[in-house]
Amino acid sequence: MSVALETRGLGRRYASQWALQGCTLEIPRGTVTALVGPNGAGKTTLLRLAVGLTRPSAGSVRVFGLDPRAQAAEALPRVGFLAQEHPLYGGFTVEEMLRFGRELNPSWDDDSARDRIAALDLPLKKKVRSLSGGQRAQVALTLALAKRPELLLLDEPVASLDPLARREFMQSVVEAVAEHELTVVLSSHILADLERVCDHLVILAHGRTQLVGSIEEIVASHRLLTGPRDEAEDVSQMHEVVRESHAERQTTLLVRANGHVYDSHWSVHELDLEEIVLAYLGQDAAVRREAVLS
Amino acid sequence: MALIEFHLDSRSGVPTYLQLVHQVRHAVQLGILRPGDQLPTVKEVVTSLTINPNTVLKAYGALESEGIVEGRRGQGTFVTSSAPSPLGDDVGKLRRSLRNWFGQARAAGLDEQAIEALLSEQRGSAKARKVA
Amino acid sequence: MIWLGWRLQRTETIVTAALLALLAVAFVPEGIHLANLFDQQHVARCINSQTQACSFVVGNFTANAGSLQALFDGGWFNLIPGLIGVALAVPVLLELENGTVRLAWTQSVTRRRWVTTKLGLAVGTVLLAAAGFSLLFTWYQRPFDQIYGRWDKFDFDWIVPLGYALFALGLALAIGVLLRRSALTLVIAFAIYVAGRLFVESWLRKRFIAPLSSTWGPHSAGPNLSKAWVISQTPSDRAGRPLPDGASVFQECARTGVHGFKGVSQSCLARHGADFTHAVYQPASRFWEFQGIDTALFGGAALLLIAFAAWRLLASD
Repeated sequence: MSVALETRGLGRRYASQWALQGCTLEIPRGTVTALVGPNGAGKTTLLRLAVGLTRPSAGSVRVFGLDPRAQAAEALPRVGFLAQEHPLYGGFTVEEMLRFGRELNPSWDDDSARDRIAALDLPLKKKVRSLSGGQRAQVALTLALAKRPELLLLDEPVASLDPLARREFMQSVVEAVAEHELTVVLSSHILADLERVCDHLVILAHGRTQLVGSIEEIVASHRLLTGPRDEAEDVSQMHEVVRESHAERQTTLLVRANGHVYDSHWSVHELDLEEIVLAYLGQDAAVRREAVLS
Repeated sequence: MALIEFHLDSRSGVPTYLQLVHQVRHAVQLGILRPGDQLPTVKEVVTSLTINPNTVLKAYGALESEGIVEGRRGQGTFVTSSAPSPLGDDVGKLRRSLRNWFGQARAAGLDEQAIEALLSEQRGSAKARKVA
Repeated sequence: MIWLGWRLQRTETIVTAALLALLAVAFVPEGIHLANLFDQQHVARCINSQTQACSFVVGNFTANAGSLQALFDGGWFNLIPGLIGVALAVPVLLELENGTVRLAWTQSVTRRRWVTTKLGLAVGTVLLAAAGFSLLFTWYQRPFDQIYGRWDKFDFDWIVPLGYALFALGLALAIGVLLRRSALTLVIAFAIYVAGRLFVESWLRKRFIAPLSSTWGPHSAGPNLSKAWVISQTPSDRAGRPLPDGASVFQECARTGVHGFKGVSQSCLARHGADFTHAVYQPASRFWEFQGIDTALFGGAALLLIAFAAWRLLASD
């Protein structure tokens, strides 16, 4: 099974609002995927659907071919999940949290969990509620990793952490990926640092996927084109336009290039990942404006 | 303890894996890495830089296809004996002539941007000559 | 998972055990003392006797009842099964409120196992604690039960406390899975528990089985109501109808007799044509049936509520 996570037309509705809609994607094994989008885009919903905390209202989701809800007994040991608030039992000591993991996970690797805690200088006898935010995050990550999952889902794992704790957390994640061929999906509304760690990208906005693919391919295929306004129409018919802006005589197009752009009237610039992502997130606003005006 | 340490310039616009490739090549050229030396393990690089392991694998793969390194299963990645040998004295000579050249360029009234433009132009054509 | 279940209800279990221990410390020495007195004074012989001497013996004993009985009579102990029930719901409520369910449900155990274990432990602990409560008070009350009959402290006897405690647990769980806010849930659940108890006590219980009624004149002994649950007993006319001015007639004919016992002058009542008595009651023999009905009522409601909570937890998103 080369696909770790697969969704087909996946959707989830709360009352009359669709938190996620028509989501179809494949996350290949061994990749580190960034799930980006503004707050309320559906990132948490997608992750919860993947681990079986939530039921789909439409479509399907499979992890390693298993239904995470109906086949929970087989799927859960293979999926690690870290919810946004890093839930832990405040009154438990770190050692008791490890025992919790041991009792609830048959595939628990206690030695590596203890080694990890020791390497991070986390006191075993201290109560969880008296740990710092970064330490709590590391304990929560230890819990998720020690059951030896094949897929790790992290929901905004570093949003509440200071820069040092953030770096240390991500260090732990990439180490685990290097050691165990782990597939990771991590959601974030902060774009910085994602390019170093992730090789795949899913952009979500307003409950829909805007872009899915490998970061290398995305950066290689998106270009910023600047050229004469009267030629804009022709160019936009050749390539998929993500964002456009017009001055009186000049047009700027951000495109997903369909082949090379040869025209000498047009200058071609490469883009970094952040600019591409922002274009897709902003695109939604442009589409909505158009829908309102027409 | 790893023999060398990598660093990344996230603002250079150069892809991460290429930066790693360049740094290994430089280390070999300067004699810091010699044939038979082991490159840092994927895990060591990933830990020190917090980057995707696949990036390191890609860099090491590119170096392997250039013949500079070879991967030995279960042991790690090692510098090959056919790696370009260090420049040694040549480096010292090149350094001195560069220093002279800069002195001459400034005396001729060239500013930093003009020097930069001259360097880029010649670098480009040097590459072209190498390929041809 | 058993360790986890216990560990998470550790505080609540300890608090409940401490409460029971406190009650035991208060009631056990007194209970032993009363049981000894009961034997020493040979009270048992005198219970069904009508002689003056025996009335004195019995009266003397009951006067020893002491301040604990007064606490008992206040009805406050009725709250204890309710407290036990809601206390043992707290671990589940807290997990729902602070999101640790999401931690538990993304390990490797199925949700079904989690729900079964957590709720099972809560129910088991509640039953154990309520049984301890019932045992303590049933034992303590034995001498008085022999004198007054078991109806007097029906709510603390035998199996009904288990039904009450389970009912409170069920309420807290069912409301908790809907509200997801612990403090509010506890308040509402406890309030409904009290309301339910009051409703059954004041209105519904006497109607579990249609009560018996009897009318008798001054020269017949009437049914033996000493151990029965007398729902009402009023002076009446021959047909058993209560008198329109019954209260004032009674007051007028009341007399304070020898030894300070209050009585009623029969001749006075006869003059008012009020010397018949009409009683509505549940006989002593029905005690066990009523215990069963009461427990089935509260226990059955509890099971429905707990099943609802379990269903919501399994289906929740």
